[in-house]
Amino acid sequence: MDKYTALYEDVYSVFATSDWNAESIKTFPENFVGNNVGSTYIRVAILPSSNGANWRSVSGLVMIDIFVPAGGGTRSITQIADKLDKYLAGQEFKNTNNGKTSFIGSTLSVLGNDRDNPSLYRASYSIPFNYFGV
Amino acid sequence: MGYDAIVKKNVQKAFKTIGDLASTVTLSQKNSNGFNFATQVVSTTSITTKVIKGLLVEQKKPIGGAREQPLLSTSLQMAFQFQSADLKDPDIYDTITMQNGEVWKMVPPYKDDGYLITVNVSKEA
Repeated sequence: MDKYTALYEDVYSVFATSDWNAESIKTFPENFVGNNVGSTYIRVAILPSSNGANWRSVSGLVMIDIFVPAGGGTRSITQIADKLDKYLAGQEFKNTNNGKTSFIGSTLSVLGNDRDNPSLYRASYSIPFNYFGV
Repeated sequence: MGYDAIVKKNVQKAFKTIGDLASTVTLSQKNSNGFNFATQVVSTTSITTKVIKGLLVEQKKPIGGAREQPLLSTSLQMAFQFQSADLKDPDIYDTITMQNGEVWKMVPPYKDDGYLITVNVSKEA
């Protein structure tokens, strides 16, 4: 399997597990338009922006936008970020390509009211990754 | 009869009056209700279709072909006005099929004043 397809499968596999689904956090990828998504959800973007150890490898950032209702404080943001850490930070996923994707430590930026929908408050959870292809 | 009902009735009447200036299109709507991360497929509701009248208010063909611009063949855009009662909650998964069989995809932004809704459409391919 090609590296970008394998990378996306590795990252997306986290959000396909029954454990993650049991967290009851609505999760969407980029380029998705949802109806009735509610006021608390996350949107996952993968940015494979740097060269990896070899031509089959790539590194970059997974950026996850966290949306919560505006005016409710930051507790729900940090709770969701901590849950994301539980599934991503320090984790390593092996794929069917004999490659693996590993994650390091995360950062969290609270950005304020969402520009397109000010009734939502947005934070950005970022975590660097290394995809090793063989 | 209240003002709201009067305006709605007159909008209906206007669409009848303009006759063949309005196009008859088939509206196909479906809603996304989730994304399956295992299969990477958007799950959608079943498609509902109905035949409605729409008025073409603008047609444009932007310059295309350069980097960050669409190819010419896919850059045609039109703006249609429909009665708000005929078109509820348009989104990117909705299409209109013209009488010549061409399928056009609805693209944001949408402008709805409660009586008339203006939507942009782009050719699917």
